[in-house]
Amino acid sequence: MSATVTVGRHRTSWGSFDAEAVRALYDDYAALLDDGDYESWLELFVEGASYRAVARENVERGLPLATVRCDSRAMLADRLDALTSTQFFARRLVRHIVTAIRPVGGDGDSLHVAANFVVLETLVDESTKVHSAGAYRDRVVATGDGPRFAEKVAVYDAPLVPTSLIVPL
Amino acid sequence: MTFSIAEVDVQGRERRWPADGPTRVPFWVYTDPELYEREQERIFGGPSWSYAALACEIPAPGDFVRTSVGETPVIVTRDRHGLVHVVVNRCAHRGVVVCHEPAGNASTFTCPYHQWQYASDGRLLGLPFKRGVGGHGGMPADFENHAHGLERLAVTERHGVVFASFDHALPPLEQYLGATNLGWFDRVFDGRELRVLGYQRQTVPANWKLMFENIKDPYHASLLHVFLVTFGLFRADNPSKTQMDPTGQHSVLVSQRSESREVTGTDDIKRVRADLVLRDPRLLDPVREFPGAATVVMQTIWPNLIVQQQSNTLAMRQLVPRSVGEFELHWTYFGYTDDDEAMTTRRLRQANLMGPAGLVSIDDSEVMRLAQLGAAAGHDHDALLEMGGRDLADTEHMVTEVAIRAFYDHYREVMGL
Repeated sequence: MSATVTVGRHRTSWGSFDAEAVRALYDDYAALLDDGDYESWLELFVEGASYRAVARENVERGLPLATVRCDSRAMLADRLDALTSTQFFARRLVRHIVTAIRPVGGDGDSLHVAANFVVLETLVDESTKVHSAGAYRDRVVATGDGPRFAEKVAVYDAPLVPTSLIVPL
Repeated sequence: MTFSIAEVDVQGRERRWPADGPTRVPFWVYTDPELYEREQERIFGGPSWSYAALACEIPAPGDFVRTSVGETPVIVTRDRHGLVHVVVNRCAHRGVVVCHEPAGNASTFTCPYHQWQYASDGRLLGLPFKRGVGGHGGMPADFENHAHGLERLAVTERHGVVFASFDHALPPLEQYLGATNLGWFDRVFDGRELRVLGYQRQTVPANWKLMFENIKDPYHASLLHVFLVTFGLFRADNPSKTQMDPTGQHSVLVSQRSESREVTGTDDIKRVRADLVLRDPRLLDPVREFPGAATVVMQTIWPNLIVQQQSNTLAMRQLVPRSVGEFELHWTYFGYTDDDEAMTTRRLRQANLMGPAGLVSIDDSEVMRLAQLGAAAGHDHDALLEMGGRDLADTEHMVTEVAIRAFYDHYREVMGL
């Protein structure tokens, strides 16, 4: 099934991808992260996938540094190992709110998808605060298990991160 | 300017350093807003060289970058002759911030409010209606442009690193750092051209001094940072040393990575995860690049800079105090223009260790937040600094808090406490 979406005055096709299946990938991404089910979350990436969280200022200034840079799913798994076994941080809950999921380009094998995100963070003993807001710039590929991330770049808008960035954006 | 620190604060509480001197830090140094205001004047506005920028951030005439010295917003500029200036980002007329872009290139800065126009070196070039309109208004006849420029700081540069000061009578940076710390500074800044890889920035809800303490404290690193310990990057049994300048204001923590996973000489490191292996070893792929055996050199330069060299990740960590209970940490990661692509990628990957999402440094920002919460609830109590003894001398191991003692010894002198 193919569908189109209107972004501004441009119309980009979902191509051979099923729009509902791609949206479901983003739903699962948010829900699994927020539930802390990192093993299942990792399965949303193909083995060679890259993940980056980048400050918008670096993108605008053409600088290569990311705040989180994983060049493979294994490297992302290493990061989650650290999160669950070596790092110290105050317990918290996060909620990923993902909106405006839309295709922005691609070729036969992969679809470039953009989306907006807001992450809310709630520390023990504190009220809920906005942790970050930004945009995803992703590449999704079709696999036997449905669409999966081949590249995920979370560009966060504010240069200043409030204290820590622990759970991936 | 001079003032005396009252021994009683505005709330009538006693503000007197504990009798045990350098081995105690009263918790009110982290929480007293009045003391914080005086730190702005005496430390950041006083006789200190504050880190401002890397020269390679403003390579061309007209380039500028916005930053802060203490709480004061400044612009670091390069004029058309190639000279670097640091000027306060505040119009001499009504105090409006004249530059609101984080970085860029501009031959002049124009205040958006009444369009007063300044040169890169802060000189006031002109202002509208100076001679009035149709014979009406205008500035008084004795108004002189040169008396109304942007406030200028003293500037010095060494091997591509720009420092600034509100005190125009400071000794040269080389003398300020002292021979030992200058030597360590020159190890990373050896005259090669630098290249900025990017920025990471964070706010930390803690007093700014806790950040300095953290980097001056090798004792915690072996215990809190399980990731570093697990992979041998920093451990209590590694060869290491702490060296201060003669005043105690700057210090350097030097260490050498272990090749073995086994910890020797102690059973106290309980959280080490001997079973943990990296699924993608490219995450930690350090290569030796500096002369000598050291693989970690963390240098703290009074009053606002930490120079980080952990394996191949190099960064300036600039401290910007925002209030008594909050500071910002601005990380400028860099390499050298002669790095090959593999080295650049290695630096970018190892940046995973550091910054607001650092596999290691998350531990620190989280602990500093908790330290501030504890200090706020402990006005009548003191922090204890007796690890490694009570003295202020250089050491050849990392089971010590000596550099924090030396830091507060200097702090007390500057603050008159």
